[in-house]
Amino acid sequence: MKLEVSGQTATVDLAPGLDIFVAEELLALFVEADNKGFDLNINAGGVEKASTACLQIIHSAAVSCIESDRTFQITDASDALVTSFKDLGLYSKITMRS
Amino acid sequence: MSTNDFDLDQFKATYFEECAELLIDAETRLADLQHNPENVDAEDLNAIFRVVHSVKGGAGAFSFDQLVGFAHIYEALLDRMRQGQIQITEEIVSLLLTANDILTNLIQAAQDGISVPEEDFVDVKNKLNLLAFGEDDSSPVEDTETTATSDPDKGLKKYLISFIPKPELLQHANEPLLLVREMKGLGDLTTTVNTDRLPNIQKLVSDEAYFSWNFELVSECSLNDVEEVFEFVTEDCELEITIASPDDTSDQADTQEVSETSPPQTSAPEKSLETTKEQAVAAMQAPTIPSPPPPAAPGQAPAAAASPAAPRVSSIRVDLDRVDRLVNMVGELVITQAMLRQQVDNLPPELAAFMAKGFEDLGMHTREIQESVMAVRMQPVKSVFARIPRLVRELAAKLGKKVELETSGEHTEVDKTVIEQLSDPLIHMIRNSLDHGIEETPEDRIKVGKPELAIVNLSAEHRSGRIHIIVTDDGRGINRERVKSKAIEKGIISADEHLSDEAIDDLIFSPGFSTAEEVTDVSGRGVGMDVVRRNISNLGGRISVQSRPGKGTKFVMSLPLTLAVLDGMVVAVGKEKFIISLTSIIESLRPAKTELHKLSNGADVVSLRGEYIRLVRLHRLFNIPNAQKDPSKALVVVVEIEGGKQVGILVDELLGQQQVVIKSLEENYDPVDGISAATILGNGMVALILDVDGLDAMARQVNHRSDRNDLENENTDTTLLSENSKSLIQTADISEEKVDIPLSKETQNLEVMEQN
Repeated sequence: MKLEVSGQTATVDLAPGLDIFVAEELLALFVEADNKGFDLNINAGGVEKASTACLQIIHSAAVSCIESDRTFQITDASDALVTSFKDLGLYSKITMRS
Repeated sequence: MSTNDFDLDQFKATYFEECAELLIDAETRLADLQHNPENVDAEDLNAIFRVVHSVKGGAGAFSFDQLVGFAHIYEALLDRMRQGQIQITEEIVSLLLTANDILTNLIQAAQDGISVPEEDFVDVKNKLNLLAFGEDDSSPVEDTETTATSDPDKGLKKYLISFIPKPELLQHANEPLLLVREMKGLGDLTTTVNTDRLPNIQKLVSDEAYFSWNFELVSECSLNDVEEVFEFVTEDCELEITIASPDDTSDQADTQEVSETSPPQTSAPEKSLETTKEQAVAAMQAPTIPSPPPPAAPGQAPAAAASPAAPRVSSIRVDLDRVDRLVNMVGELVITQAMLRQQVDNLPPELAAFMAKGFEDLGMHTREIQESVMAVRMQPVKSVFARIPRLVRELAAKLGKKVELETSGEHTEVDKTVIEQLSDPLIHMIRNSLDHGIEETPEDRIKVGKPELAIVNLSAEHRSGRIHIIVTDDGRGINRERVKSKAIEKGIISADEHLSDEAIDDLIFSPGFSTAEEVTDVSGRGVGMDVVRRNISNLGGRISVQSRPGKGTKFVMSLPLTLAVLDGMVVAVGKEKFIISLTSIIESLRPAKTELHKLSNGADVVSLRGEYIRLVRLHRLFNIPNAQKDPSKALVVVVEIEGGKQVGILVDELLGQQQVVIKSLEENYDPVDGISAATILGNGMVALILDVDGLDAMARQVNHRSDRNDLENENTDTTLLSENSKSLIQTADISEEKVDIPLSKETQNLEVMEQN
């Protein structure tokens, strides 16, 4: 995973396996984006498996973005990721727009 | 690290390692159940249940569906048993043992990436199903999650569960997602997450748990079922489970379904993000994000401030390769320390005295490090012993004998390298005892006044720095007449040879020896015991047998506690240096001429306190020039060999004790008669570690041949020297990096005639 920066937006393609073992790497990317004040676009289409550790990090990154008036969005979220958010009760904090 | 680089295999490997340990535990406890099915320890059943539950949990994580399916049925049966719903009988225990075998096979298949044909275990599966669910053909995987809710005897209950993970919960390989999914399988679940503890991204620690949850579970399952979900995380969380009235279920507005379609209940202004459903866009919404937690006190980590003290971790799992590397490095340290110590002798006296004190401390610390590192690899022999009850049970059934196994000392510890080599010889000894030692039938035993139940005793103990594994049976003992006639028939001994009882018993270790009237598939074709002896000998061990006709047989297997280092005595013969294991040395002496005698077959013996001890002349066996040949001017090191016998090894002088690092000859070269291994001395020279049992055998062979073939040449010495021994001794003077033995690997013995 790495940050692809375009203008003021940093895009991260999430790894298929968002295990606890990639959490540190994911955190480092989000901290870097936070340090540089980027908007965050998370491409989550390839996520096949998620963990609580990574969902915490994504959630915290979202909080940090929004608190500092930056945009945070997850695009193309896979069913696996959405289900994981639902299972942890985090989906109540997500708005779906059509 | 990219995720593509992420390799699940390492975690699978850990899972399979854990499975192996768990299965040993289950096997041991099943053996206890089998031993006494009328008086079962509830903890045994609980422990076996936990084993199967853990196996199933891990298998689920790795999608080993076949394993999950079987483990589920097995687990369900165990659950009913531990709740007292199924009476424990011998038949049930036997079924459990079979189920454990199948579980083992399925784990192995999962490890090998293959599946086991369903027909191989469908019968057992159906039996388990029948007992666990009252049905003969279940679909366990599909049923897994609904079993608990389908019991009509249980009413609908609402459980309120408060689950507050401790920060380290994730670090202990626990995953709340899995817990949630397991609960979803029990009934209707409503999940409310509390994110109050979640810090800003800058302060977040990737593997700490911050979320906590309140769950409402409406289910027919029992409280026990709910508690089981959290069975493995109870030490890593604050957990509270209460049962509310079922009527309370209607007033829950904040369900997942509601929240998925409705904006969240919030008092803060909404900041929505650009998202579309088609793109499955999920955007976090600002108002729902809680305030950051209050700043932590100076010097206090935020997560720690909100959580209770972490539990003490008493053990960690370490990859064996890492331990082996550590052991090797400590071995090198020992050698380096010995080399430095030797350099001290070349220093000026005032400096030498100063350095000597430092080296004394260094030596002490090195030894402490070495002992500590070796202790890491020490394991109880229980892991090997655990396989034996099953073996005895199955063999006894196969042979139509009634046998009870008694074990003791299973907690005796020995180096893992020894453990790994212990299993095969031990199994062979047990097989031998059951097949040949115990009388043919229970009726045969009754006829000779013995109880029909034969006893095989397996024990382990530490003795003189070695581990002794002892297998005893109360069978018929060794039939010496038959052994002797068989040995003559096979040409192992001559017809006119007079052997002591012990020597006759020892013939069972001769290559190709078998007294079995017919070949069985239990003990094989009689090639076993010599292989057992050779394998044990290769480990630096020895095996002996003691038998009393009609009373039974006792095998004693003696092995070093470790195969990595050795406390040795460095001895000199000519210009060569050898190592003799300190544990085998009894004493050393310089005999007077009057104490030395020569037997008719040319063998030298020394009289010691009224007993005659055979002398082994190293210089003859290894053809070493310029060695002291007169025992009255040399030294005799008396060592203990197999069966508690003693021999005297003739050496020129004792150079001192030294701990040496064992370098395997088998791995680096080839087995060599009379030599068990090699080592590197402080001066960088290679020294050979003597195999005292092997030396005795060589010396006997020399005398035996001399006696049989050439009695008229009484003044002629016969030197028995293997090609490899000779070559090794020729190269032992060169430094380690030059050890390159360009010799044939033939191991046939050469007889070299040498004038004394």
